[in-house]
Amino acid sequence: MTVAAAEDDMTIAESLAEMLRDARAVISDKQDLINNAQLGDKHLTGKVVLSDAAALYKKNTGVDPTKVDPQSRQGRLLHAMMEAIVEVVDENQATINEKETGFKGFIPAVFARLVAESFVPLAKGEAEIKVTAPPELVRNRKARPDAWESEVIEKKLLDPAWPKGQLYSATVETRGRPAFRVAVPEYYSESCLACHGSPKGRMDITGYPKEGGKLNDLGAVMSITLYD
Amino acid sequence: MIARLTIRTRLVLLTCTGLFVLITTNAYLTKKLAENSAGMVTAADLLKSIEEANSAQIAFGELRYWMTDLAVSQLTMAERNAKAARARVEQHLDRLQPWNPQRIEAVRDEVAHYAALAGKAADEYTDDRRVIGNSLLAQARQHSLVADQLIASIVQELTGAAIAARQRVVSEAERATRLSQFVVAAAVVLGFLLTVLVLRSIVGPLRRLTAAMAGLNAGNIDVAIPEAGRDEIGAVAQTLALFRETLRELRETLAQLEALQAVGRAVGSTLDLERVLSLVAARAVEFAHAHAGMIYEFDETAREFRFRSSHGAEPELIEELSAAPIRFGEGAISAAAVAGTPAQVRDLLAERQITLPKLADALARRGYRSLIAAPLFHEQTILGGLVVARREAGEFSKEVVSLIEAFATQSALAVRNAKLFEEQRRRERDLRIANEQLKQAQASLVHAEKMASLGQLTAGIAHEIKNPLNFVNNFAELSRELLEELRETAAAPGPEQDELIETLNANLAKIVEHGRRADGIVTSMLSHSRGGTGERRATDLNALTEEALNLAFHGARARDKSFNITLERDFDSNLRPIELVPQDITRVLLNLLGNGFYAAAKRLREGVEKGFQPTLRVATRELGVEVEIRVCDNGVGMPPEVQSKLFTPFFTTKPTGEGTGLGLSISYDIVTQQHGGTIAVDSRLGEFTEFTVRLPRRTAVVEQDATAGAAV
Repeated sequence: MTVAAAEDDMTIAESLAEMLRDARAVISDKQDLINNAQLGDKHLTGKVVLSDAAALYKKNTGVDPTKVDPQSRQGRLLHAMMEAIVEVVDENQATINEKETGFKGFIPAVFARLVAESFVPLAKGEAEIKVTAPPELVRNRKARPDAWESEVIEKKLLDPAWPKGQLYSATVETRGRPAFRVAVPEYYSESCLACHGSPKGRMDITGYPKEGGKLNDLGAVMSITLYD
Repeated sequence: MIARLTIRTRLVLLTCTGLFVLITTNAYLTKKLAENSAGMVTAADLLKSIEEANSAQIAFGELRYWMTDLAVSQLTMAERNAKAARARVEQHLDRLQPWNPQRIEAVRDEVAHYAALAGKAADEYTDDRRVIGNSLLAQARQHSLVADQLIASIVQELTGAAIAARQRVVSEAERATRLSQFVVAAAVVLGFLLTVLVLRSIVGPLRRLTAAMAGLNAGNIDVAIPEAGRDEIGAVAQTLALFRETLRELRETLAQLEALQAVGRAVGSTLDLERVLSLVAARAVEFAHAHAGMIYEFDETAREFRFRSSHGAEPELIEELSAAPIRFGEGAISAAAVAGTPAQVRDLLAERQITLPKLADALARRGYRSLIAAPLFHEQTILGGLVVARREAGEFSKEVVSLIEAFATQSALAVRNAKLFEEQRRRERDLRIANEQLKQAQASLVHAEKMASLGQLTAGIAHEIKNPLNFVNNFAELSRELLEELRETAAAPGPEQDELIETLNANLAKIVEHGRRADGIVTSMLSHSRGGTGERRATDLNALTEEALNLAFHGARARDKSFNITLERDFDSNLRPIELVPQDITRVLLNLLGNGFYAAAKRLREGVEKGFQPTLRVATRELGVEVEIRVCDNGVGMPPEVQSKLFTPFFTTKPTGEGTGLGLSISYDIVTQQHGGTIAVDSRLGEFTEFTVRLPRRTAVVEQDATAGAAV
């Protein structure tokens, strides 16, 4: 792969990561609405979420994602991501709109994993995205890091000398195909610590024991694979 | 049997028995406890194994849960929990391994298969291959069931074994408890019985010993002392018995000494030989533990031993012994006298040679079988012998022989003293009699002199009075006759003349009466001065006394119409006639009775005592050689100084004109001089006066005199 190609892949990966992050941020922002037991139809549809995510994307990158050329590789994958976002939100409307149930488990992490899972078929073998984490922080085994991810997390991202927020990318053969892989570190914010903070072992709102994480600790890794 | 053991041995045996029971019980219980502990350990091991098996089953359940959870949730937490559960299952199975390695290995296999298949199923679910996942999970379930059954069967088996082990422990514990309770109860009963037995074997003899000691302390040497066993109490009892024997000997010795002292005191303090000899015989019998004691006195003149005193001998035996003096040279008493030491007859039936057959038979008939005879010596002179007999045959102990010798010495001393005293007394009596006779002779001489002079005076006066009195009497009698003639010769005297004649006649009768009385007095005075001229004749003294009593009483009544007195007569019906001068004795009685009436009436007149009843008692007694007349009144009585002058002529206590002072003096002469008797007075002022007159029978006096003459 050339340097230019690598720079493109990096851009694509960053944009995919940004979109997923923005959509996740919207869902995070809408948690009160989602968990409102008195309200039935919340009118939080895929389009609404995507719209808000796109607006956020634009705000963060200065680029309107909807305007990215759908024929380009970035455009295809970005649209696939947006489609996945809509799909996941729409598929979970019954959950979101369910009355008389407060906490519904449709949290940002679950949303992000579901979007990532929906993204893979929509990307049609061109790319994969997964939200993983250091092994001890992985809650769902589907989010378990593979060998490359594990190595990157352990040796790079968790290295105290690793610059905060710096991505790691490499061209690695994955599933028998050459691929450009990017690992995007994500750190615990205040909102994350509600479920992943202290005290360690105490059940969070989902019924899972808190990991005892601290602010700005490495909490997750967004792994993006772009196949050649 | 226990008394044969020493107290120390008894206590050691008791302690050993207790310790043996304690140690045996303890050993048995220790063994049972050890067995039970082992059983408990086994049961605990089994329980632990059950716990392990249960824990393994629980952990396996958790494994299944988390694996299922993993399949559904895909959460790594479930995976981690499943892994931890699996590890716990393995740990529990590791701990169970020693119990039954094969069966545990089988469980491991099943668990491993389950885990592997469930893990694969989870992977398949993760990779969204649900059908394969289901299939693998179904396979895993089969192994899960088998593993579950295997663990359940292990739990069941272990539970059964644990229950059995526990049951064994419980039943062993119960059996041990029962046996322990039985042994404790038996030990308590045995201990109690042994303690009671030992205590009884100690306390009983101790009490008896204490009682014996208390008895000995109280001076009871006959107190029973418990039998001397072989133990310490037996030793004390033996010592106590020895002490008692010593005490008894001491007491016996003391008693002997006291007896000797008593005899010595008796010898020294009394001259009553009979009493002393009786005392010696009694003490000799007592301390020789014999049954009869006899004391013989040696008659030097007749050269024979005569029975003198005894103690314990039967009256018939005494009679026989008294009737059979022992000639010197015969019998044991002579043998003892010859030898100078006590002689024994150990068997009266066998040793006939030194006994007198007659006396031996007399003793043997009364059950006596042996005797000891000791001589009574004083300065080489045989005074008699002491014989002590008992009903048992056999020799007398040395102590008894010594004691008998001591008593014999005391007896000899007593006999000697008595003889000396008898001699002394005889001499004293002779002297006293001689003195009395001298005094009497002196008094008689003085009295005779007085009476002689008085008699002469009285005779002169009486003679001078008698002639004029004869004239008075004769002329009075003649005047009465003349007055009768005057009455017969006077022609028809008037009543006044008759009255005058009667009065004259009565006056003349009184002159005659009193003149005769005066004549009688004068005659008496003359006869008194003449020493008595009355004829003695056999007289019934009771009749004479009765006649005098009547005469005196009526005379007193004639003088004083108010006079009265209770007369008590106590006449001896056996009184034989006695020769005396009746009119003189009547005079004596009239004097005595008159005085008695006077004294009793005087006491009544003085009226000091209310309810006083004048009484006069007259008694007669036949005394054989003499007769006795007692006249006793309960009148004013006399002081001693009056009594001493009572028989003095002209001494009187009566007022002038009421007594001549001659009555008792004349009576004294009549009784003593004329009849050879005695007259005595006993009086207490204010209470009584009693005169005792004793008149000897004349014939008896003559006989006595005759006998005295023959003895000389």
